[in-house]
Amino acid sequence: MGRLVFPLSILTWLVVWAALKFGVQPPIPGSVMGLYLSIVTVSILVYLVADEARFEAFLAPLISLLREQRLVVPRLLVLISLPLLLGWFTYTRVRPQFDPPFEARIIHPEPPAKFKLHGEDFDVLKAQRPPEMEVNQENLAAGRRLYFRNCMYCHGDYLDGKGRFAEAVNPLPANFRDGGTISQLEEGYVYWRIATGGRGLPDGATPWNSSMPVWQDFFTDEEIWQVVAFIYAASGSTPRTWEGH
Amino acid sequence: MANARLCVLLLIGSTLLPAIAVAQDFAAKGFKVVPTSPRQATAKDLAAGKLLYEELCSQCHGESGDGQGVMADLLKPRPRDFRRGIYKIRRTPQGELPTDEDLFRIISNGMPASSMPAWRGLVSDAQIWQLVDYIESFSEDFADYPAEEQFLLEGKPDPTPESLERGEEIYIKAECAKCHGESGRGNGRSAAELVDEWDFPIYPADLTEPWTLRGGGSVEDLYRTVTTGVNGTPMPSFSDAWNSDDLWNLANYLHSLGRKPFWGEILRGSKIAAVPEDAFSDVWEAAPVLDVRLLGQIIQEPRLFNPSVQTLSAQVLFDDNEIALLLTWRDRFENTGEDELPIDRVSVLFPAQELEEGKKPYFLMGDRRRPVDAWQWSANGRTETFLARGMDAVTPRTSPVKSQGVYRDGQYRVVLRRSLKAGQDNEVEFSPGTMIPIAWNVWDGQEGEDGKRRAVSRWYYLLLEPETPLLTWLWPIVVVCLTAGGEFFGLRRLRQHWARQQTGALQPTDGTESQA
Ligand code: HEC
Ligand code: HEC
Ligand code: HEC
Repeated sequence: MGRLVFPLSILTWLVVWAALKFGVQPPIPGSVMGLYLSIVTVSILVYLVADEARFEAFLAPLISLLREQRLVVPRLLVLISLPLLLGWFTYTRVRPQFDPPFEARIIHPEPPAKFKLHGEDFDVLKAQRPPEMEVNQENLAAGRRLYFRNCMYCHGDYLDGKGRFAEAVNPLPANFRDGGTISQLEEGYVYWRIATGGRGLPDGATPWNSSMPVWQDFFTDEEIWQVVAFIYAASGSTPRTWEGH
Repeated sequence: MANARLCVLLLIGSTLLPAIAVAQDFAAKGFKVVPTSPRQATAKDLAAGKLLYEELCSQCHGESGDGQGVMADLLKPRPRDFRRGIYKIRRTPQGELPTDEDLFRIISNGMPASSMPAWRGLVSDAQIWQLVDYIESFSEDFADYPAEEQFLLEGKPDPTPESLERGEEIYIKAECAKCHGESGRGNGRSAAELVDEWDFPIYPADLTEPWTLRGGGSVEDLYRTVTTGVNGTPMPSFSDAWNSDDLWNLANYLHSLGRKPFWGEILRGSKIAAVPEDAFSDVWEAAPVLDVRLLGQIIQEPRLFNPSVQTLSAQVLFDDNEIALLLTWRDRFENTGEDELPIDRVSVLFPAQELEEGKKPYFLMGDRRRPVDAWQWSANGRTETFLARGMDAVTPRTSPVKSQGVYRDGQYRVVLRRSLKAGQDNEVEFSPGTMIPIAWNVWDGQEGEDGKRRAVSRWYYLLLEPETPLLTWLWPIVVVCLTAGGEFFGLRRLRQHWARQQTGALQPTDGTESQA
């Protein structure tokens, strides 16, 4: 039993490490990992120290490595590689690292109360789908045509944000099938986003990055309602309504 | 009369004979061919397939399968017209229909570098089979003349030097270069004249960018492509002229032509003694590459939906005074402005002012508040710089940028050099260790790209890597010395301790004498 104490302790540590490293999804952040592993190390040590005989059994292989004449080669290997390993570890810590600056982005920023739509004031919060633009076959068909001729390249023909150019832009185009995009928004808000695009985002939302075009330069007011109707219908989502508030 | 009969006989013979001859040939030439087993579509599958098709495919391929969906005219290549039963990616002999499995695979995997999406993961396998059944119902040929045999993609040899050498020999002998060019960039002599079955111009594939091949870029895919050809296009099948081993070697060679893309966020450059002026200088080989995905400028009118250049490779180096950028991209034809067509161009954009709060200029040539410093090289040798506050507010200014651009075998290589320090107001300044936003625009004159009709990129970062500070080396050295010292003294103490224990065991009276 005594001979097994050392290998078993090391094995326990390795098993816990492997379980944390490969067994947990999503991966644990490095700092949390370090914390867990030091707790594990301390626990194993406490367990070993608690019993005199056990602790000696644990130390025995280490001592024989340092002491016995026949182990001179492994001893030298360990003694040389330990400082080098620690040196390498320090190097990876202090070497200058360059990461692209982190860019915070508010996905759904507060809209302005009013914006200029084709030169006239449009009230985002009060916006209602006009009766003649109701969601019917005809408007949906028109919206579909507009979507596929204009939006598909980024938002994808499946409306999942994976269009042909999606990987070439940053931030990524919105995925309309995701519960976190248009199904969280009122139609008026979506209308505002489409009409004014990435350039219309308020300053806090990194407007200088979004490639979303300004669609009021291309579409009439009616066409924007049609495309709004289409993206909801085709992605199987429904707009949030005022009653929901 | 007799003559006429002979003619008819000959005609029948000439249509039948090659068929028999070819059927025998495949096996004789070492190709593994097996019979196909077409599926029997049920009415239920067809009905389910129709519903799926109308929801997911008809916007491109058209309600009636005629390839005339609502935006078909904006797509290049055009969506397929299923009524004619012409399919590009098959394991069946040239000119034949695909098998059901062929269609299943292409619908699952999609066709890279075209707008045909990959449907695996979005719909279930059972639904893909229903789509296969429905698509086949657009053409009667699937019932009347189904393909009878298909090739197995088995017997791939290792890519040994001999195999690659043999492959290259076949590439030359089979005149692939006539269409695909010496280096495989799709720029052969005939490249400009090819049209497909649907009378649209078509370019030979760029074999150096395997991720853009419709049928995939693995060795097996390449073997299938050269064995069965690409129906509906000038890309022939080579299984009549060559045997299976030859085509495997050719596939190995084609695979070796393909390069690996280096997608990323940061273009890194290191310091060297003197930056090269020459685009073909050897020092570029050691500089890391950043591959940049380009999108068509579809944000402002006039828009470009199908950019000709979709990837641009960038490298950077610097010395004490200067920075040099090397930009490399494939262009099948050189346009220097000597004909009616626009000139090929490239430009590099940097923020013209230091970023406030990290805010970058608008990626399309900046905006009113945040201008862009644009360097532009044109294929007629001109280098210009602009201060741009948006695509419509571009002002030329004196250019401090020097350049050398070379067009060779289907590829541009352009070096742009400038001093690290800014020479005038609103000019980018390069200092090692800072992340500088960088973006690119590319125009291909052959395709009529000019003005706003261009390929653009989003912002990436340029980083000139500073020399490693001494402290970086100091810390690891200190750690190594400390641990080594600790080991040395610790071990010495232990040795003394053990020696004492030993002597103590021998002479239990005295422990102090083993000091030595
Ligand atoms: C050039 C690429 C591009 C095109 C074309 C494009 N978009 Fe976008 N769109 C984006 C990007 C990128 C975002 C995410 C960043 C943002 O919110 O601006 C986005 C966001 C959106 C949002 C906001 C979703 C949310 O949850 O906040 C809507 C709505 C939208 N797009 C609709 C459209 C419609 C409708 C069209 C076609 C008329 C279209 N887009 C065309 C790139 C594009
Ligand atoms: C966004 C447009 C688009 C959509 C949506 C689309 N396709 Fe395609 N598809 C294309 C284009 C473009 C091609 C032709 C590519 C080429 O010729 O290189 C094509 C080609 C094909 C081919 C021919 C493959 C071959 O080997 O020649 C099949 C089969 C096909 N599509 C099936 C489908 C099915 C099934 C769906 C729906 C689930 C679908 N497509 C949806 C654009 C689309
Ligand atoms: C007559 C001109 C011509 C010749 C000769 C020719 N090709 Fe092609 N090849 C083409 C064209 C055109 C395409 C593009 C087809 C498309 O875009 O659908 C192509 C496409 C390809 C592809 C890519 C198919 C895919 O998956 O997208 C490969 C690989 C290829 N050719 C290899 C060869 C090899 C190897 C040879 C010589 C043995 C050869 N070609 C000879 C015209 C030619």
